[in-house]
Amino acid sequence: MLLLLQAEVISLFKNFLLSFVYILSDLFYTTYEFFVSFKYVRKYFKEIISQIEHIGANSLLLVIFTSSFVGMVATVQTAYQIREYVPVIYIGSGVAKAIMIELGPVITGLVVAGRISSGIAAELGSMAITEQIDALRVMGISPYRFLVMPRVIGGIVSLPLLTAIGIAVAIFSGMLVANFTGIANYLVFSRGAKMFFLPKDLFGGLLKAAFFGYALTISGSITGLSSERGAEGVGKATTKAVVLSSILILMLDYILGIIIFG
Amino acid sequence: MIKVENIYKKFSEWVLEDVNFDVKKGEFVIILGRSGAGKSVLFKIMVGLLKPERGRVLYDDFNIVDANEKELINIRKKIGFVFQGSALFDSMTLFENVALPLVEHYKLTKKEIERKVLASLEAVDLRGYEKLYPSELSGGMKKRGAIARAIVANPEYIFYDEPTTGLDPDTAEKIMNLTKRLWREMNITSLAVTHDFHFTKNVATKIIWLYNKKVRFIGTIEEFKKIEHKEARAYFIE
Ligand SMILES: Nc1ncnc2c1ncn2[C@@H]1O[C@H](COP(=O)(O)OP(=O)(O)OP(=O)(O)O)[C@@H](O)[C@H]1O
Ligand SMILES: [Mg+2]
Repeated sequence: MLLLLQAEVISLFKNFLLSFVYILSDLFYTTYEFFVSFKYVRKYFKEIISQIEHIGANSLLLVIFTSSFVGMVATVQTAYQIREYVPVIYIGSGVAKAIMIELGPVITGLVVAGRISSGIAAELGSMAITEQIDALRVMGISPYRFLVMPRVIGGIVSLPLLTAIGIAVAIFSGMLVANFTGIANYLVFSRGAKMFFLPKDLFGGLLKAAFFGYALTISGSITGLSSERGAEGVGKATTKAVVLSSILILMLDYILGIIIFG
Repeated sequence: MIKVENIYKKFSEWVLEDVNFDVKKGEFVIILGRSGAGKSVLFKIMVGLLKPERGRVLYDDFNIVDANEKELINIRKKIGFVFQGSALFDSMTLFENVALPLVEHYKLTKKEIERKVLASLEAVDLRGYEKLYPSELSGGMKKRGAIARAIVANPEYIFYDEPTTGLDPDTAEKIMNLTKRLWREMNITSLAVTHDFHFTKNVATKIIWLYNKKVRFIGTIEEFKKIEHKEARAYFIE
């Protein structure tokens, strides 16, 4: 019994490792194809703009909604953690910094990933199973430049924009909550937020967001294009897209955090 | 001329073993075989969408099996392919679908593109529908749209994957006549895979019969009628 279990675990682990290697090679290959396709940016300019619009329009409300809660939670939690030992004015600094560096980009990235990367996977997946991808290839059109490149650029451009909005909303909602719960009034909070403001924090956060935009669109593309035959293949691809993009976002967050702020 | 030599293909099991035949200029070749026989796989190998485990596919002596993307694109410009499920792009209108091969590969003015696309739609009897999306077209219209897209750039070869399957007899007849007309009038060397024997009877200049992973017969319709194999006989019972 134990042996059986052991064998099971080992084979699970082996499968996991294998699929990890497989995904990694897919990731590098698709990234390579993406860069190769870059010279077609002008040709597909309209499509890129429409992808940016699509991502923005589909995520804006969601980002605003989640960011406002992020700001409120961050303020209340920070206050709880530090108010006994640290002057109230630093609450604004701590909250604003945390939102710009970390919470804004990551939460925006994860929320948009849930929506957009699964959407891309579903779209490309259903194209794959209905032979539309084959049709492109047989016409000599690379699906990477025709479908993947505009989406990835769309993600890279729109994520920083969405994140900037998310950061603004989160800081503002944090300030409101601070004021109304008596943690710190508007003036104290905003003075604190400005006191230690470094442009690097904001731009570093937005740079991270651009990478997250890349991660979530490329995840959707990879899983969609390699979707298995049949409708359930598409369903699986969408789930995989969300899982993969979330993992990539968190990994990139760590790596970029070290590079930019370390 | 296309030559298929010693093609072997396997997924989890062998699908094709030692497949050999050729397609000469001006022929209308029909590949017969039951569902799952590997017909679509064979077609996809012939246009470089799938790699065989072994073997070569030669277009005028150029082997596409280990060609690079650039070389493949040059060959594919000579090919029109009509997929089993039409595979029109959902996000584009019929016009945009048909225009795509021109937009992507040729430096043409808007006017020239429009002229060619409309001529192509005219040929398949779909003028007036160019602003519709694939979801607004019937199965037969989609098929014809896919044919229009396949012929718009004047291919030398056209591949039809089950052109009549899933259509009512009237529509199937229309598609059959259309493929025949294109073959004759536009002089496109044509290949189709099907299990529709009525279609086969009416268009084929050469039949290739796939059975149990292998090519079991190559020849004319009269010769095919003479073979005794039970599976082959089954095609005549309608
Ligand atoms: N991409 C693939 N991955 C795995 N197996 C495949 C793939 N494509 C085809 N097969 C398998 O190869 C065999 C032949 O498939 P193919 O689609 O060529 O059949 P077909 O002759 O076109 O049949 P039909 O008339 O139903 O279209 C089938 O058993 C199929 O499951
Ligand atoms: Mg088939």
